[in-house]
Amino acid sequence: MTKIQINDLNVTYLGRKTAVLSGVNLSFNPGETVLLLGASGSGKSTLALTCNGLIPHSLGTKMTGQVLVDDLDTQVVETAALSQKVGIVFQDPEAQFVTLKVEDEILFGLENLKQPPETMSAKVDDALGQVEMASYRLRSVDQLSGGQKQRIAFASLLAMEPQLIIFDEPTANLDPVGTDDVFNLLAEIKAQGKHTLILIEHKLDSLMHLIDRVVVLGSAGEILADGSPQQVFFDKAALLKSQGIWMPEITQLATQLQQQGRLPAEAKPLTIPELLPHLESLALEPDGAASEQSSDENPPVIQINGLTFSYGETAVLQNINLDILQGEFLAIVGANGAGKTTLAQLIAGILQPSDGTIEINSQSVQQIRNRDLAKFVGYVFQNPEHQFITNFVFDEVAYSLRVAGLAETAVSEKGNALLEQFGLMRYAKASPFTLSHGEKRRLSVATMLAMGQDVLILDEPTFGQDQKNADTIMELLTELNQQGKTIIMITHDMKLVAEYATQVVVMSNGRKLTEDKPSTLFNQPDILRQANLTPPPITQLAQQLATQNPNWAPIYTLNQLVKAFSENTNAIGQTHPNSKGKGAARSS
Amino acid sequence: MTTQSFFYQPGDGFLHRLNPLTKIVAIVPLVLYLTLTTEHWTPLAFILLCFAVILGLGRIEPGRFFKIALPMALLMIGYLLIYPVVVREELVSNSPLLISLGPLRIYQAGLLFGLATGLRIYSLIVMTLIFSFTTDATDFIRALVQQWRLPYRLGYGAMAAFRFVPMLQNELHIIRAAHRVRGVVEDAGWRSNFEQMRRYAIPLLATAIRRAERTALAMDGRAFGAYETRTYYRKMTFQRIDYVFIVGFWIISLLIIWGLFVAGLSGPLVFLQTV
Amino acid sequence: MTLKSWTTRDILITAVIGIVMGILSTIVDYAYTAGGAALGPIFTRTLIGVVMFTALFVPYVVRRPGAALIGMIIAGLVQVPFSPGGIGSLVLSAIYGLFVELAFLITRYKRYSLTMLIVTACSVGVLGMLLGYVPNNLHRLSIGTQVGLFAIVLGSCALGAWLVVILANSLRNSGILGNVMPEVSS
Ligand SMILES: Nc1ncnc2c1ncn2[C@@H]1O[C@H](COP(=O)(O)OP(=O)(O)OP(=O)(O)O)[C@@H](O)[C@H]1O
Ligand SMILES: Nc1ncnc2c1ncn2[C@@H]1O[C@H](COP(=O)(O)OP(=O)(O)OP(=O)(O)O)[C@@H](O)[C@H]1O
Ligand SMILES: [Mg+2]
Ligand SMILES: [Mg+2]
Repeated sequence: MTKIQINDLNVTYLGRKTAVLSGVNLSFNPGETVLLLGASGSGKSTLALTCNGLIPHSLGTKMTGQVLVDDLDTQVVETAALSQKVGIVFQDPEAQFVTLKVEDEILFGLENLKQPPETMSAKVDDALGQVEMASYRLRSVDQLSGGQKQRIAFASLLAMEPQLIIFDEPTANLDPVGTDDVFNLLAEIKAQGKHTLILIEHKLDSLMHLIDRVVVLGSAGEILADGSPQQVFFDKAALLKSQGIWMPEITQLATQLQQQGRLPAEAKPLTIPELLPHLESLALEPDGAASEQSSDENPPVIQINGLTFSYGETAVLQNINLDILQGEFLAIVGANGAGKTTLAQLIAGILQPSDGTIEINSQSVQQIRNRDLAKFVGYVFQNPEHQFITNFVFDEVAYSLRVAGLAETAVSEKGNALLEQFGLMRYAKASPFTLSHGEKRRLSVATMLAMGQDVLILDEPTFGQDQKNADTIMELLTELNQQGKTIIMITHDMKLVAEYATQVVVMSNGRKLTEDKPSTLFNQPDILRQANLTPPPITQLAQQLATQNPNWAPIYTLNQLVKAFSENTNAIGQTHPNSKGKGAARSS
Repeated sequence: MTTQSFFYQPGDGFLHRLNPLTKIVAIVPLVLYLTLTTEHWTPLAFILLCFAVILGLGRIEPGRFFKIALPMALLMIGYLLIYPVVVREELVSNSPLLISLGPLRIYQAGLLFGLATGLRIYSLIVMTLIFSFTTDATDFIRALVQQWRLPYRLGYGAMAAFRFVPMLQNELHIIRAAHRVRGVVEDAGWRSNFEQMRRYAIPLLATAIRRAERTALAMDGRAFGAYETRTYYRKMTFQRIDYVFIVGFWIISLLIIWGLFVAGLSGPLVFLQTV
Repeated sequence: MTLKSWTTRDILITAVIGIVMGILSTIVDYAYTAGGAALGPIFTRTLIGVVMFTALFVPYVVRRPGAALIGMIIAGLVQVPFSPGGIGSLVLSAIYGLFVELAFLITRYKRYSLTMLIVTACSVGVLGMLLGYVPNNLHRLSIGTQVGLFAIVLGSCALGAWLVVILANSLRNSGILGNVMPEVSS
């Protein structure tokens, strides 16, 4: 099995002043499964690329030091040889394909390696068999789901028989089902025991049982921590947190319980089964008043009746009825292709309904002119770059202010105030495209708010962000929500739903499956199954505990749990579910 | 939207089973010949021949075919309307005068001249449809690379880029919506058209370039370009049916040309024509 | 052709710039098509500027030997499944790419001024028209019309070249191309 030895590695991209990786010394041992963590931009992907020689062979970089793959120096050895030792599965399933057919995709690598054509057919079958997609050989790549595409991408590497495989955020674009699909595949590959695996991932909880070792990159491209998951997630928890690095929810909970003295310091549970026994022994008193404050007194801002929409002949949305109340924090969830984005775009007037009505403040959306509608409803697209229209950060905000009808003097004043509020003041004169992921996202929210809308729609606001950026954005939204704005958020991340949403709409196959409070939704297994959702880890934990002690039932976020413990020595029942600023607007 | 192209109609007709290059070899001499014709009967005959070949040998559904092929004939009408007006008058003034409106004089020969030019251009288009309707572009590239020595890195680079076209069209769609939500109003007029183009270009290129970089890495990661040559699972070659088609197509074409000549319907070729 | 020095990344980026320019041109086309369709054959002459725009944009941005030719071959290949002309447009774009490449070769890949681009675009545009002169029966049109066509082609090409410079410079300021093509200067 392949091993990798990295000595004193420094990498600098051409045209950049600072190094992405500096002084990295690291080795990946045969048969290990290593999780590689780091904040956004810390150089995880860069490190992956050095492992199969794409750096320096394909990407323009300055590289010093050595990367040895089975004692072969990547700077000297040909990429062809390295591709038979190390393979990478990338984040975007679409961007990895060259051809249009599954079979051709797997042949592509074999042909590049100049293997004899007679031997290829068997290898294709073998590779497809390993990812359990043998019957898909003649399919078109376009007809596969996201998770299946990742399986094919993986099979196309397997055919070349590398023994070390790197997964660079393979599930970032996938819904919960696609994600599980990929994680199951990982488990199968690990069980075969023939490969060294390196994983770069954010969704940690469902992976922890597979991980042997965790390596953490710091923001200056150095190694911050390297050790067993227990060592990294418990002993270095504070460090990881300060760097804004994602951690499993279970270990975060366990750390906090340890700080409260409820969990012995030597217990270092990583997964739900490991934590369960410790919590079962905690005595809980009967649940007191665990009811959520529901005040449906606020009037609806948006009323949707009998909404139907189709692209050509294919119906995408069917008969949607929905009232969105003033000051609500609404999450829209569901599988890939369920129609979430379509629904949101209809609300924002980007698409026109085929049938049914949408009213904003009792006025039909179709009757409001585009420019005026933009003043009622803000829409933050998934990719912030899509919304930039000027050359400078300040002008972006100023543009919106002018559309909102502000006078020139007010524009510069309000514009500066907004940039200040979003921490973007020092980039005022930079091009929006040069900002980092998190900054771009904040700017796009700022440009929307500049118009002063009451309703803000966000399509996957935390996509591709690290923990710190994600928290910043969510806190911002919570603040706005508390000021009385209505927030509508599309997301695949059930943790966000649990922590922030006051109401959640579940979409499935173009229909509204249900609308409920998050806590209620997570206790409806059949609905979750139907919409391909899984509850967040803490909720799962609480649900398992609730089978023995019903006092756990109303718990579904980390904060609730921790707070419950700190307020009440032994009773978990008197939790106030709206812990983290949520629901404030509703209850006021 | 899929990566499948607009013109190619998957199927298993005779034409589909031919090597893509066969269709090119077959039509190139006729394309050259048609460019040189000066009257309207020859193009007309070949337009009909091509219709027959595409519908018969290609087994393309007629409705689908004419939905694409007929609108293209509109181009022809442009020639028919404009050329009689702008043709050099001394070339046509020995034929009957049809319309005379002040300085505007339209002669019968002028009208035929417009018709001939329009039909000729249309016949060239229809000729290439034999290829476009029945050829999978990726097979075409494979054949170019394997048989006609197109550098394989260019060929497969283009193949990977096919996927980008629908993706980027969709992206443009999204960007337009994203700008509208920000209160941007799209006006007509070419100044603002250019301004819009500039505004769309930046985000569109940003996405496109990043995507291209990622795809390139994924390809290199699978040893693309590692060697001067590569092997091919599916070997593209000329088979018996390829020769049959080429020879058959040429013989029928010659028969048509001969028939028109005998019937006295064909005119002089361009270089024999007195200007 | 110096394909050896081209990485896969260069090839794909070149392809993708060609595609984006093609897609964007359709927006401009669209405005014309509505009013221009009736003008038929003469209208098609005005489109030469769009072709020159695509042909010049890649070499102007990438600035290295082979960019124009490789760019247009890839652009042509990519058009095969998406345009009715299919192979026809492939041959045409390769020819235009070759001409533009020659222009840069003659100036030894040292000159990238607006004047240079306009001169290149106009000469290649006229050359292209001359090649299609007989097939389009242009030689039999009245002299006034022929002169007019030349004027249209020259104007359209110059405009195309001018747009290349404006758009490319504005892109460079946004920093997108800077990361991708560090060798671009001025
Ligand atoms: N091709 C490139 N050219 C120039 N700079 C680059 C290039 N690729 C990455 N960078 C920069 O190098 C740094 C590290 O990038 P890298 O993609 O390795 O980070 P990462 O840890 O994978 O981040 P993420 O979690 O966002 O994927 C970033 O600042 C990024 O902007
Ligand atoms: N422009 C389009 N043309 C045709 N069909 C489309 C178009 N856009 C979306 N669809 C289809 O509409 C359905 C709903 O798409 P939508 O983008 O709303 O899903 P979603 O719930 O947002 O999914 P995801 O979680 O993947 O973002 C999908 O089946 C999709 O294929
Ligand atoms: Mg990365
Ligand atoms: Mg969506």
